[in-house]
Amino acid sequence: MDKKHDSSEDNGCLTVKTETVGACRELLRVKNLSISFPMPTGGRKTVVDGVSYSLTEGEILGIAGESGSGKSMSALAVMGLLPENALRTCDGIFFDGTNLCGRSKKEKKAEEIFRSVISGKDISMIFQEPLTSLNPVLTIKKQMEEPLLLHTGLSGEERNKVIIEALSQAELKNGEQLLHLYPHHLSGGMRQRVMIAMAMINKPRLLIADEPTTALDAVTEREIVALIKRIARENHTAVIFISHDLGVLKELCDRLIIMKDGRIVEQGTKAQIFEAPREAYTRRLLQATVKGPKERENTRTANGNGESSETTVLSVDHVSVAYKRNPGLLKKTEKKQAVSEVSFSVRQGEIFGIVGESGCGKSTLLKVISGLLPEHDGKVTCGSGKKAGIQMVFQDPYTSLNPAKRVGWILEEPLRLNTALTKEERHARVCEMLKETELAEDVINRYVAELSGGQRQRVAIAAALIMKPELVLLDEPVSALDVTVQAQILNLLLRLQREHGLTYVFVSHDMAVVRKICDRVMVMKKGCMVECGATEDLFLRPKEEYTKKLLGIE
Amino acid sequence: MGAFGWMRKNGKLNINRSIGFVLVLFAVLVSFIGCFFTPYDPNAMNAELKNAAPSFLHWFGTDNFGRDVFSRVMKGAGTTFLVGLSVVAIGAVGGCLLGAFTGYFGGKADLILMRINDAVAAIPSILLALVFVSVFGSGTWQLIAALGILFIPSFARVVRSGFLVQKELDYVKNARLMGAGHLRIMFVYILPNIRGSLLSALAIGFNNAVLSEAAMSYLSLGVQPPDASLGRMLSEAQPYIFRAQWSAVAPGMMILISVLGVGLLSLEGGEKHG
Repeated sequence: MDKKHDSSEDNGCLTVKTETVGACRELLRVKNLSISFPMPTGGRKTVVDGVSYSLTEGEILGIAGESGSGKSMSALAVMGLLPENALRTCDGIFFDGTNLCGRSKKEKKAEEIFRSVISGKDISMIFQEPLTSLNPVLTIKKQMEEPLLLHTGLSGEERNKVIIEALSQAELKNGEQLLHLYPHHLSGGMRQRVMIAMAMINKPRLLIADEPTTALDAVTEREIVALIKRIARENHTAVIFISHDLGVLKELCDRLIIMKDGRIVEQGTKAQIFEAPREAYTRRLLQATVKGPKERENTRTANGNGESSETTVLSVDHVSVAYKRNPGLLKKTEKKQAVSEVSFSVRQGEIFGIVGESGCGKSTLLKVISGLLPEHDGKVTCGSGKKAGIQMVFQDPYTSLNPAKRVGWILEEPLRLNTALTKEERHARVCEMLKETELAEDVINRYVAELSGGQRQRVAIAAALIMKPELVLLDEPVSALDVTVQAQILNLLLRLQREHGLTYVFVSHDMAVVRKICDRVMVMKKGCMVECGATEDLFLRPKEEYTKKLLGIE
Repeated sequence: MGAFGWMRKNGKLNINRSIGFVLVLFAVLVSFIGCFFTPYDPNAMNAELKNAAPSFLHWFGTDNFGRDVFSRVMKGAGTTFLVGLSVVAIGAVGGCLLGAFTGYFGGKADLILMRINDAVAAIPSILLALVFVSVFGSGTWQLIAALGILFIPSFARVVRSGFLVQKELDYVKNARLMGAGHLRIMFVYILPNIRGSLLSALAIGFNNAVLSEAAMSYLSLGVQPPDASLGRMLSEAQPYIFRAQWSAVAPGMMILISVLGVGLLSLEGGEKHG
C-alpha cells in the first residue's frame, strides 16, 4: 500500500504532514537513515546504511535479520536511544509529520523537547530482557505509575484503576496483588506482560518491540506474541516488531523488512515475503527457520544411525533434586522440588533430546548427570566412569569459555589436566580439533571476546570433544545463536556425532531443532517426565496434552 | 597503536590517563634518584641555616635543623612509597587469599571470616594501627606490618565479590568437568578475570597507604627520626608552619602529586587494554 510513497516521495521534505494513503494515515516515515560508530583503530563502522521505511497507523511491521544486521539500531534511532558515540545521518524521521531527526544544534534542542513530550505517551518500547528493563528496586505499581505521572494529571485512585485495567488487558488477572510485588517475584513471561502493560498504559500510537520474546520459552513466546497482536489491534497501535525469528513474525506482522549488514534486502507484505521471496538471502533465512519433517529425514536417517548399539552409556534411575531456598540464619529452610523421580537411559551413539519450558528442571537434570550437583536422590551411572568422560557444551558461549585466556590455552587445558602429552603433542591435537570444527588455525592466539558467537560455540564444542568423551551434554547449544549460524552448528554437531560415534544428550526448548537432530525425546514439565519416545512418534502422535501444547497442536 | 596507545581512547588523547602518567612518572623519578643522589645529605644539620627561605642553593629552603628540604623530600618520598607498596602488597596477597577462599567455597567459614572482616573494617584504621604499634614498638617495619594487616579486609571484600559472580559462570563449571582442581580454578581461571576491579583496588589502596603512612608518621608512630618520610616531614614542619611554610609545602606537594597521579591512572583502570 505504500509503493507509491517509496518511489515518488524520495526527495520530499517537511510536507509529509498528515498525508493520507487510502484509509490509513501515515504515522512514521524514516528516510535514508545511516548510523555509524567510531572504531578504536580509527575510521568508522557503518551499522545502518541508508534505510528508509514507513508505517501507517495501526500497522504491524516486522524487521527481521541476524544479529549485527542493524535492525535494533534502526529502531532505537526512532526512539532517540542510540549510544552516545553513534553518528546518525538521515533525511528525516517523521513521526506524525514532525521531524525527529534534528541536524543543527537548534533543531536538536527542539527534537529533544518534542521527544520528552511523546516518548512514553505516543511512542513506547518493550525490550528484550524483561528482568533488566524493569527497575529491580521499585514495586510494579511504582514503575507503572511513572508514565502516568509524567503525561497525565490523574489522581492517585484514578492511577490505580488505570494500572489494574492495563494489567488485566495484558492478561494478568490478579492485578491488585501484583502491585506491591517486585520484578524478581515474577516469572519471565509475567515480567514481559508487565512491560507490555506499562508500555501500553498511555495507549501509545507506536510501540517498538525489540526482540521481546527471545528470552522466553516456546509456549510463553506464543502467548506473548498473541497478546501483543491483540492489544495492538484493540488500541489501534502501530507496532515495529524486531526479531530474528521469522516464525514469530509470520504470526504477527502485516508487513516485513528483511535486513542484512545494515541495508534493507527486501520488504513487502507478509504474503510476498513468505510465499514469493525475491531475494536469495530471504530464502536462506526462511529455510533456516522453517525446518519441515522432510528435511529431517535427509539429515538424520541418512546418517545410518537408526541402529544405535545396545550398550547403555548413561542410565538415570529415579533421580530427584530438591533445592533449599532461603538458607538464612534464623529462617526455616524451604525446599523446592526441581526434579522428581526421573528415569531414562541413553544408548551408545544415540542423540537423546530433553524438551520443556524454562524452569522445568532440564538444566538441573543435566547438572546431576554431569556430576556438578552431588546432592540428589536416585542413581546416575555413566559408562566406565573414566575421568573427564562426560563433557558439556553450554548455552551461552560468551560465559562458558574463560575470557581471560587465549583459545589455544582453553583447548589445551583438558589435555594438560588429564594426559601426559608434551607441549608439541598438545598443540598438534588442538590443531586437529580446530580442523574438525572448521575453525581457522589462527584463532589459537585470539581471545574469546574477539570471536563471533558461532566461532565461540565451535571452540566450546572443540574443547568438549578434545578428550573424546563417552557422553556429551548439550545444554541449549544453539539457542543463543542466529538462525543461519544455528543450522551450521547443528550440522557440525551431527557430522561429528556420525564420524566419531558420539553420544549426545541434547536439551532444548526449540521443538524444531529437537525434531531435526534427536533419535529419542523426553518431555519434561515441572520436574517430572511427561512423555518419552522415538522422535517421529512423539511429534506425529503425541499422547499427552502437554506435549500437544508444546508442539502448538491445540 | 604505538607505545602510548593505552593513553588514547577513540583516537583522542585520554586526558586523565596522560596527566596521571606524567605525575606518577615525576614522583617515581624523584624518589628513584633520591635513593642514589641528593644535592645535600638529607640528615646533615646546619645550625646557621635554620628555617632558611628557598634560594638557589636550597630550592625548597631548609627546616628547623638547617637540613635541605629538597634532599629530604627526595629521600623521604622513597621511604613513603616503599611503605605504600609494601602495605598494598601485604593487603593484596592476604586479601586475595582470604577473598578467594571465602568467595569460592562460601558456607560457614565464609560467614565467620567475613564477620571478622567487618569487625576489623568497622574500627578506624589509625586507631588499630596505634594499638599495634604500641604493642610491637614503632618503626618502619612495624608500621608496614600494622598497615598491611589493616588493608587486608578491603581487598578481601573486592576479591570475594568478584569470586561470587565468577564462580557461577559456565566456564567454571566447564573447568570442573574437564577435571581442574579447586585451587587451579581459583587462581588460574577466576583470578585473571577479576583483574580489572583488583587493579582499581590496588591503586586506591596505594593512595590510602601513602596517606596512612603520612598520618602515622605525623603522629610520630611510623618512621623514626632522623630518617625522612613525607609524613614525618609534615609533622616536623608543623610547629614552624607560620615562620617556614616551605618545609611543609614541599612534602605536601609530593603527597598530592603521587596520590593524584595514581588516582587519575586508576580512574580508567577498570577498562582493560590488551
